[in-house]
Formats: sequence, structure tokens, C-alpha cells
Amino acid sequence: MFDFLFYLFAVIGVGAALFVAFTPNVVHAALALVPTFGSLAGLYLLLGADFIAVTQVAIYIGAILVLMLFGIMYTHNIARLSGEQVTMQVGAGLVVALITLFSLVAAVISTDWPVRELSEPQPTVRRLGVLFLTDYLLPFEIASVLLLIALVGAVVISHSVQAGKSKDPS
Amino acid sequence: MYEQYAHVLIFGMIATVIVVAPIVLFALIRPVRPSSEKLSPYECGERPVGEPWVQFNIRYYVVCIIFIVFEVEVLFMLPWAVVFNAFRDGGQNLQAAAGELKNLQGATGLIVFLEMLIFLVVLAVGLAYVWAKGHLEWIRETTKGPELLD
Repeated sequence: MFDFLFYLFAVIGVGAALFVAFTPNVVHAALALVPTFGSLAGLYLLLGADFIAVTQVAIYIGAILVLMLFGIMYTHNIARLSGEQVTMQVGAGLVVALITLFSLVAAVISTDWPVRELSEPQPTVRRLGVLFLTDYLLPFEIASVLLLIALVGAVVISHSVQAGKSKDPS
Repeated sequence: MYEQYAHVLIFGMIATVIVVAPIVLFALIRPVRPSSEKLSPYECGERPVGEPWVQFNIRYYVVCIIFIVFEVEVLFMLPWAVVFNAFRDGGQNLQAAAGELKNLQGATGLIVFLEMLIFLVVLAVGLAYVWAKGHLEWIRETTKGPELLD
């Protein structure tokens, strides 16, 4: 059952990711991220990371995707742009792709992959809560500062966009 | 833990079947005779006018960012809420909850409460900033005329 679910989630995830990469329609690509993120959440669950899985569903599927769709809709003339895929910098791209491929393959080969018996994973939320409030208190509090910076930054940037638009009515 | 999530899996599979089965079934049995009338998007009987791709107001984006920030905040609060009572009771249940974690560093209910309060106050600053900048008000007095419609 475990193996079956792993391969099911893996096939859905990789298939949807390929669709994201190759579909000419940007909106379809963004929507295809739903099965990609969802199957990732399933893989997290299989690894015993239940909190991460729920976070994946809530934040990536629930929020980041909405943000991406808005980002697409803010793009000027997206309906006319979609369908065109222009390849530029073929030589440089090839070099970067080959270097990435080589390092990934080298990493896979040189890594020792230990095989261990699976034990039934325990729910992680309570342990996470204790760790947040004791050993990892500082990162926990810094996370709130990070969220504050993200919020203020986004507001400032969008405000400047709006100001620029009202000054230059084109 | 897997047993609990088997329920989620079953619900997910049923939901998928309910969505996919009618689409496949109807694709198999319906006759295909498209006309321009049938292919036009349905807008409550009105004839659709203009392009479906309009540029949305940038303010939706700000609202979305605010939503994400506070959703992440809620997800950070969840583990805290789950273990808060154990801290308040002086940690008797905590050793069992935390497994091998022995180092509680003398954290009590009050300290744990203050820790979360700091977290919330920092984010409340962000909320106050957004509020003061007027991003929570949808209709602003400074925008006038046709700009409201963009």
C-alpha cells in the first residue's frame, strides 16, 4: 500500500509538473500546480510529516496559487502572450542545464542511500509546539518579523505601482 | 497516524470520482453538435461583451498578501495552541507529548503565553501599518471619477 501510494503521488506530481512546464497556456499551468502541490502534500504525509502536509495544502494550494493567478492576471496582454514560447540564449542555457544535470547526477551517485525499516510515524504537532516554544524560540519569533517584512514590503511595492499609474495615465 | 489519514485519502478519492465520473460519462454519451451559440460563455442569458482578460485592480493583490501573512500566522499558532495546556499544567503531560525532549528550560504557562504574545504583537504592527495606510478600506476618498472602475 505504501509503495502504491508513493508511486501514485509521484506519478501525479511529476506528470502535473511536466504539464506546468510544457503547456502553452499560463493559466492552465498555474492550475496544474494544484495536483503538483497536492501530491507533494501526499508524499510529505507518507514520510510522516503531517503538519508540513497540511501546511502545504493550506498555504501553497490555498494562498500562493491565488497569488500566482493574480500575478498572471496583472500581466499586460496575457491573452496575446500565451502560446508563444521563445527560446533565447540557447548556448548559455544549455551550459547551465548540463552543469545542473551533472551536479545532480554526481550528488545522487555519491550519496549513500540507507534503507531502513518503516515504523508507524507519530503525529508531529505537539512535538513541533514544544520545540517552537523552547529550543527554537528565536527562529519562531523571527518568523513573525519575516512575515511583517513581507507584508510591509508588498504594500510599499504595490503602493508605488499605484502611484506610478495615477501619475502616468497611459 | 497512517490510519487517520486513510480517511482523508478515502474522502479525496470519492471527491475525485464525483468530479471526474460525470465528465467522462457525459463525454461518452452526449452528441457533439457545437454551434457558436452553444460555445459562447454563459453569463445569465446576457451576450458576453469584451475580452475576458481584464486587468484587475492591484488592490486585490495587497488583500491576497495580507491573507497569506495571517494564514501563516494561524499555522504558527496551531502547534502553540495544541501544547499550551500541557505547559500550563506544569509539564506533566508534556514529557509524554514531547517524547524524548527533556529540555523544557523552565518554560511555564505564563512564559509560553508571553512568547506567543510577542509573536502576535509583531504581526499586529503589520496590521496597524496596513490599516493606517488605508489598504483595508476598499473605497478610498482619494480615488475619484472613472479610476474607481479600473
